[in-house]
Amino acid sequence: MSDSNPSPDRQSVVLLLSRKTVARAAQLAVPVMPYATALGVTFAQLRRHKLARVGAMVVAWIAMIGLFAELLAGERPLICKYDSHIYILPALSPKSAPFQSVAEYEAKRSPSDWAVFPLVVYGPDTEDRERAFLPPMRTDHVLGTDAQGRDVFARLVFGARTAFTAGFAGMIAFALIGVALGACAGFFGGLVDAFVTRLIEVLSAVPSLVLVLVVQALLPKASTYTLVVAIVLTRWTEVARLVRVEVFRVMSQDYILAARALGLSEWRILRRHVLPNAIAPAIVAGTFGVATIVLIESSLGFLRVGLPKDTTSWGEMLSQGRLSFDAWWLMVFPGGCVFLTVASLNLVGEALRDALDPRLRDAAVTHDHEAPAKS
Amino acid sequence: MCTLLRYAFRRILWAVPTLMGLSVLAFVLTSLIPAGALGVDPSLEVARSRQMFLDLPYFINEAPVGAGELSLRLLKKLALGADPQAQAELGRIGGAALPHILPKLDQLPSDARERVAVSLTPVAMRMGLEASFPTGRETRDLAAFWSRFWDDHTLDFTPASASRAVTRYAQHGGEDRLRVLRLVDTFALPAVFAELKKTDQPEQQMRLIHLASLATSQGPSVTDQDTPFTLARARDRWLEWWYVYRSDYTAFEGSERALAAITETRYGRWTARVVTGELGVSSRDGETIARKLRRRIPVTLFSILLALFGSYAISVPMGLVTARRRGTPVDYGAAAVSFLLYSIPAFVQCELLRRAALASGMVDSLALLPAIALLSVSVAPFIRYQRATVLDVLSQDYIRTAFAKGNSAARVMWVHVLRNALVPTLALGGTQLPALLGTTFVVEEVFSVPGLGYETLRAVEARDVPWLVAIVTVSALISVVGILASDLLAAILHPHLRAQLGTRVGRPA
Repeated sequence: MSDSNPSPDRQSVVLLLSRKTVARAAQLAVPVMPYATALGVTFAQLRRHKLARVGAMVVAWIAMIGLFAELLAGERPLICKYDSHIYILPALSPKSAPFQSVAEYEAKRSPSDWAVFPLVVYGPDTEDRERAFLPPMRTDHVLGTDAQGRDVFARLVFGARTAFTAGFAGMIAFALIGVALGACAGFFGGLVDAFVTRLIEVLSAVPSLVLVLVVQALLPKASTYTLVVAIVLTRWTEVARLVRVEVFRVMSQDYILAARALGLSEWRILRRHVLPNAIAPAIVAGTFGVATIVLIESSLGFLRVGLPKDTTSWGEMLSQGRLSFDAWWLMVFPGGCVFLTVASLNLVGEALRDALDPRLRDAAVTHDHEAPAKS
Repeated sequence: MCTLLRYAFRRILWAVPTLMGLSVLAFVLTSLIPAGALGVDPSLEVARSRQMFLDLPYFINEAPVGAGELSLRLLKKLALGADPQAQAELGRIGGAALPHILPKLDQLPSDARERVAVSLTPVAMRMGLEASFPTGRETRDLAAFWSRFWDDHTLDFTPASASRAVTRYAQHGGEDRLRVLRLVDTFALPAVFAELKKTDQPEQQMRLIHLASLATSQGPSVTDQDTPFTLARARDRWLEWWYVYRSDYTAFEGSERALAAITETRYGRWTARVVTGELGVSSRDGETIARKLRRRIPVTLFSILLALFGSYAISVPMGLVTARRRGTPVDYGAAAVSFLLYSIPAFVQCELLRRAALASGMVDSLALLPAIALLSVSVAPFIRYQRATVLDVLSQDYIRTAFAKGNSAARVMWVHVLRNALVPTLALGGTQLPALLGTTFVVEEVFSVPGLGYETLRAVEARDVPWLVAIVTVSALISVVGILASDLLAAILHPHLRAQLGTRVGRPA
């Protein structure tokens, strides 16, 4: 099996790999794999999709910003020498920090002390009523302040954390539930299928936003976790529906018959033969699902219901912007963040869909991710 | 036609389990509320938990508690010893308990008999028996008084005579009739409320409400001076009260008893209420949910329908144009616009629209703005979907044939493409309903439209549980109906689908 001369059908596959990979393989004289993995093909296609690349980068950036929120905005230093001790990253844990705010530090410091503070020395909840509604770029509040004098940049950064925590946690949860139930319905059919289908129909009839809102309002202690649970409760249906249909399609393929003829166990057929071939729509729906969750979360913040008071949310910032007409920065920055996130995720999702499932390329707008993503 | 009907029938049948599932879902929501979450006042707590039927079992009640069971239970408690709570409870139930208690009075030991007789004293006061009541004398006389009372009035305590008396009093009024009715006290309540539900005469309603408040010694009562509005409110409150407390005053006998095993449960009570369209009373302002819904739904449905038709009006021509000119700047421009429209969050779009309208001074058009906002938020999926369907149709052989026959492009587009591409888009409307409903919440909040969403957000602030549960049910119902309608529409319009209708619904072909 020579790599220099792949047969025509293999060549088409190889072309899907990026040119760089192929070139490097040739250089190293390592035989190019005679087949490409589904994942490899997908990523190769994704890489060729410029907009999707940009989208993925934006998402990654915002996710990183959310992940390292404390290092970007906060009142405790990244590293400091204080009282002849060196503290590393007191920003992450209030308990081990020698002081809790810049003011405290300035008041107590001795000449030999030093500290490196985050980019913005305000936390998301640091209020200063006298410095409310400061416009951007005028003071050390780079993006201005809101009605309570809280720093907009800090709140944006921590808002990213809320949005992405909910988004990714929720996505993983609903994708797992959706794949499991959808695969069971498709694989076992019969009563299981009837039951799961009814369940899907029931849960998808309730508008996500309405259900989440009501659940959050009814629970005595609503938190971001209950929010995620409530969203997962409604969103898994979409994944399950797609996977179920896909499993039906796969089950009628010859290779399943072959696997049965080989005497493989049902579990093994499901795991090794059916699922890998039926998972594509779930991945796509999962990507769009993150966008949906970010939208629902910020909508709730905007409506000022269902989120605990101390949660920093882009939507909550927007609702402030709505009340104060002149403070455009309270509208533009969080609005831009939500838009960037959702648009990027949508771009990635569309590219993924095209890459994973060419059959859907044009007809795929039938996925109703677009619709719920709006709610 | 026959297949179509069969399909429609089957499709509607399939909606039944869905509806049942929905009812269970909404019901589970009510059970989400843990005890102690409803009010701070512990005295209200009992009443609230009864209003949510939290005292009943979930699905099956093997021993339903009616007036008979309740009063016998209280009797047993009193026979064992003094129990102020049981005494008060017996006083509350009053007349409805008498037929169950008084015949057994003689079998009790004398001290128990006296305790029961004492706790019935407030009932006698309510009945207007002060004159003949042996006040200030031995408690033994009290027991004797009640025995005598039962001997005299056994015949009044039959449902038939009570209901006859109530009907006559409601129609003609009169002090004598009222006196007779006060004698049976709460025993008349089932008849009173049955009559109250039936009648729409204000003065009859007033008399019945008066009677109810006399028997239960609680408000609201109404007088001649009250406005029709107050009367309606009071009627709603009383009917709601009766729905919750009916089992205390009604004896379950015979077939009613078997039925009560299902109806006297949380789920049974809840479902019965939904099915009859009575969704309870809002705890925010005391208006019935049903009346509120009747006022709010048209507002929301109007903007949803307007947005839906607007979406069709925009997306159908746009889909045709963009698909025909695939890959041209027109196509890319349209794609970019629709991408922007579905990536900009709904609330940002609404806010921008509101500001634009305010800035340009077009305050006159504010009435239409919500619908326009909803349209701009929801149109994108339609545009993309229509484009994809048209592309799909364009690639079919029959289009090539149509062109080959020498038809003009316009004719092919209008006659061959549009007809086939329209159906899926039309059907999309139904499946988009849940999303549209969710979006209206945001739109109505931004523009302060007094629709379902606006009301719901106020309800959230006030923790108006009945409304919140009702809104889940109603929005789900609207969605189910929408999906049903779009399925049927697709079947009617689409010959292909009609041919496949023999296959089982819910299975991919």
